[in-house]
Formats: sequence, structure tokens, C-alpha cells
Amino acid sequence: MSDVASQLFEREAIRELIARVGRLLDTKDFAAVIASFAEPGSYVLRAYSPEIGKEMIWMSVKRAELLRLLKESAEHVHDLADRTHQITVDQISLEKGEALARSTFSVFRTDMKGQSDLFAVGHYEDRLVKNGDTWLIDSRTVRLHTRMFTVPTPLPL
Amino acid sequence: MDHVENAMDHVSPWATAPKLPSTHYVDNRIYTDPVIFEEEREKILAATWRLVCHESELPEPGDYRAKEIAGVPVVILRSEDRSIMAFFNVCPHRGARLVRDERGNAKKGLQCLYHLWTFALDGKCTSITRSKGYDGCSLKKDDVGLRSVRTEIFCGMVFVCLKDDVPPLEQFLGGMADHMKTHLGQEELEVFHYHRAIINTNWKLFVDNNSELYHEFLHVLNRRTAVAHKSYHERNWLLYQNSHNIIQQGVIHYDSYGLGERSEGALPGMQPNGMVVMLLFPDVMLNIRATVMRIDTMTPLAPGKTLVEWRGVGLKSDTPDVRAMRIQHHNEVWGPAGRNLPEDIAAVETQWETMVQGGSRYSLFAREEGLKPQDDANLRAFYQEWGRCLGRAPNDPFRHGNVDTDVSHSIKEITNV
Ligand code: FES
Ligand SMILES: [Fe+2]
Repeated sequence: MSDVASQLFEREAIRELIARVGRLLDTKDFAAVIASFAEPGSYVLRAYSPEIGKEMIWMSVKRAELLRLLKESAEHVHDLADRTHQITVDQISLEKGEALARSTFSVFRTDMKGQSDLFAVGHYEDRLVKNGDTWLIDSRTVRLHTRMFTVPTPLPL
Repeated sequence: MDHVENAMDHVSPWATAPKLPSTHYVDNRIYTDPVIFEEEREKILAATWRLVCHESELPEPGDYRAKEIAGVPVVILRSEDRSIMAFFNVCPHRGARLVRDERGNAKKGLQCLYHLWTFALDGKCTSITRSKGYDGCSLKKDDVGLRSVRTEIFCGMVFVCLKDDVPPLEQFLGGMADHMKTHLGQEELEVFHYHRAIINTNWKLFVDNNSELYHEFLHVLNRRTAVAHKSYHERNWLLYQNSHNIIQQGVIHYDSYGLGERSEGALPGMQPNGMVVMLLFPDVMLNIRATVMRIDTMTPLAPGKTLVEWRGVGLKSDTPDVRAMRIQHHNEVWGPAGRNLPEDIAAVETQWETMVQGGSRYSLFAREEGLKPQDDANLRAFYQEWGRCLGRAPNDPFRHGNVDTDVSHSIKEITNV
């Protein structure tokens, strides 16, 4: 495969991975979400508060803690609504078996009566690594634009 | 209109008042009725000291924060001499909102966007556009300053009161002042987390939720780390005048839920893994989990809509490592992605859903455990104070004729301090 072709191939694989993780979160296939992260992996949820003029971290966990949170979620009183991710990968830069990707996401929430609302918008900043032939998320920073949730949730966005 | 009639008025036995002392239950229309809501705005929300921010949110002269108190827009700002003042966030000319953002700096003073009148940080009007147009009626700058709002600061907490005839803040805080000095007054604090949400419930249901330790059973985390342990039940509520309260410090067993110990970096007044919960009537809830403090305040928007603001607080002197630890401890339990907040919100929103259609007529506050954590005495005191402010009996708010607002029955519970 030519360099250009292989670059396109890698980019497509990364795009698919990011889209797939969104779908897996929607279907609550948490084992597969975790399998999409490298070890030790990290997931950070950030937002900026204009009210106090500060960058905030709302969640910062390693892969193992993320797994625990996802497993735990069933025992917590949790939101019964469905979620739908819509993700556009805006930018991918590849370098020596690693990649940085920036995506824009929106998450819609469909309540039990069937009413859908926009729940959150923001960006993913992903650092990806290759494990054999497979791309994995090494670290994901979720930069939220939405700061008021209709329903709070410990589930990753 | 006296009150909104609801379907349950005609259904037995739910429409029958519980066979309990009148202090031990409330009529759920105190949460849902629009007339009562308007009265609360006037007689409680506009008539008590209300926490608006922490002074660390206004570090520089000219810094301001905007807020609504009982529907009135207020701007709180730090003036040139570093004192903190508050004004109606309203132009005295024709009522345009003066600052439109939540926070900012107005070091050069405030300018109204509409006809460009300007005001100094002390509220004085400094210029009137084309002022000669007012010569005919002799209107002067001195006649049109901003309407100031009473402001007092206690332990770095900035309170305002819309009414001029309410006793000073420290008198209002009463016995709680010493607890605040212990936890908030020994070292300079700093807000590191802020988020808010509009929750679909009545504001008092969220007060109940936070103040009622019986609700710890809602949270799997609290079931394992708190109520399952004998020592949790061996401490008392301290109830104060004006319905402020605090629970004596208890130790939380984070290890019972696989969470890290909170033995290092405890905040002032806190023991390792200690926890306290405080309520400052009507709407300020302070929770401290050893290393981190959470401050909740509310702006009731409608009977079933409440804006809640949550702050996470550490020490101003925190090193980056210590701050990171506090943030982690905050987020493990609290915050919009914490374990417990979704559970609290789910509970209080379902309460609203059943009450607003009349599907639930009475709520019980009947637990008596000798002021131990899961006694309802603190909530009984809250509703007695609420009843005193409104001149309505919480268990029978539409009773005609004289309403018994005697609070001596709950004062009996207050004599423990
Ligand atoms: S309304 Fe403010 S200057 Fe006219
Ligand atoms: Fe709770």
C-alpha cells in the first residue's frame, strides 16, 4: 500500500473507532467501551466555568476506574433514558504509530415517553495508540460546552 | 384563588390527614401551590439573608457577580476600597439590566447599554447622557444612584438581604456562627468547582433531600460507607433558632466502597474521613467530606422549577497536588458526574411528579430517634420556621381562621444546644 493509501486507511480506522465508541455508549455495551481503551488509559471530563472563571475537571479516571464506574452504574439509581451520540471527527494527525484526533459530539437524550432533547455538546480530544493492527484510545479529554445537564450522570459522554 | 383544588381532595383515605402530631407531616400543597410559592418569595426568599457567592469569586476591585434573589436581579461587586457591595442590577433610568453576564470586571464603573448612563462602583450615577434635557425638571445625577442591597460577609461568605428591616446577619445565624467559624473561618477558602442545573422540583424538596439523613439509604455509596456502620448513628443533630442546623461530625468508611481514605489534607475543623452537613435557612446547604466542601444554594423559579448552584471548595493555599486530590474527592461523590447527584435529583423530581397532579397528598416527617442522624427533627424545625414566616400551618396550609404558628413544640427539640 502506498503511504497515502495507508494514511487514509489509518484515518478511516480511527474515524470508525471514535464513532463505534459512541454507539457502544448508547447501547451500554460497557465491556466493549472499555476494550476500546488502552492500558492504563484515561478519561477526563472538563468544562470551563465563566461564573468562577476557572477550568474545571468533572471526572478524571483511568481505564480501570472507568470500568468500575460502568459496572457500578447498574446498582445506582440511574437515568432510564436512552442516549444517542452524534460524532463528527474534525481532525486527525498521525505520527509514528500514534494519533491525535479532535471530534465534535452531541448527545441526545430520549426519555421514556419518547421525547428527545439535546443533552450535551462538546469536543473529544483523543490520543490514540496502535496495538498490533488495532487503534485504541489512550486518553480521551471531553471538553464540554454544555454545563447544565437536565439529568446529571456518572456515565461517560 | 385560595388554592388549586386537586383530584386527591376527593379520594379516601389518602385525603385524610395522617394520625400524627401536626408537626410530623406536611400537606404536599406547600410544595405545589402557586399562591404559596409567591408568598414564599416575599416572606422567606426576599426577607432572609441569602448567600450569593464566596468572596474569592471577587478577587479584584471591579469584579462582579450577577444573581437573582426572589426574582430581583442583583449585582454584587468589589469596590475600589475592596469592600463588597450589592445593588439591584437595574438601571434607574428605565429598568434595563445593567450587567448582562454572570461575572466580569467593571473597574471603570458600570454603563447601561440602553441610553449610556454610567455609575461608579459605589452606586453613584456618574454621567447622564445629554443631561441638559433634564434641566427643565431639575433631575440631577445625585437623584438617580443604584438601589443598594444590604450586604454582609461572614467567614468569606457573601450574603445579601433585600429587606432593610431584617436583623443583622450574625444575629440571623445565631448559634450556627460558631460552626461556620470552625469550618469556614480558620483559613482562606477558594471555590474550584461551579455548576448549576434547573431541577424540576420544588426547592424545599431539595432542602429535605440534603438535610434528611434518612435519605442516605437512597445512595448505595452511603449505605455501605455510612449507615451500615454503628458509629454513624452515634451523634446528634444540633438545631438552632431560625431553623439552621448541623449534624455532629461522623466518620465515613470510604474503604467499604473501595474508595481512598480521606485521612490527609482534612479541611479546618474536620477529622480524617469526617463528614458534616449544615443547613442555613432557607436554602444554603454545606456538606464537608473531610477534604472537600460543597456549598449548594437555590433560586426557586416556580413551584416546580428550581435553579441549584453547586460549588466545590478547597483552601486558597492548596498546592496543585492537594487541589487535585480535593477535586478527585469532590468528583467521586458530588458534581454533575459524581455518583450521588443523579440519585438525589431522580428522587426529588419523582416526588414533584406525583405531588403536582395530586397523586400524593401528605409527606411524613415523623421519625423520632432522639436527635440521632435519622431523626426528622431538623426537618420538623425547618417546616415550623417556614410556617412561622408564612403564617400558615405546614400540615394544613389552607386552614381558615387563626393559624397556629407556635413553634414551641420544635423549640423543645432545639433545647439540646
Ligand atoms: S435604561 Fe439605562 S440608561 Fe436608559
Ligand atoms: Fe443525597
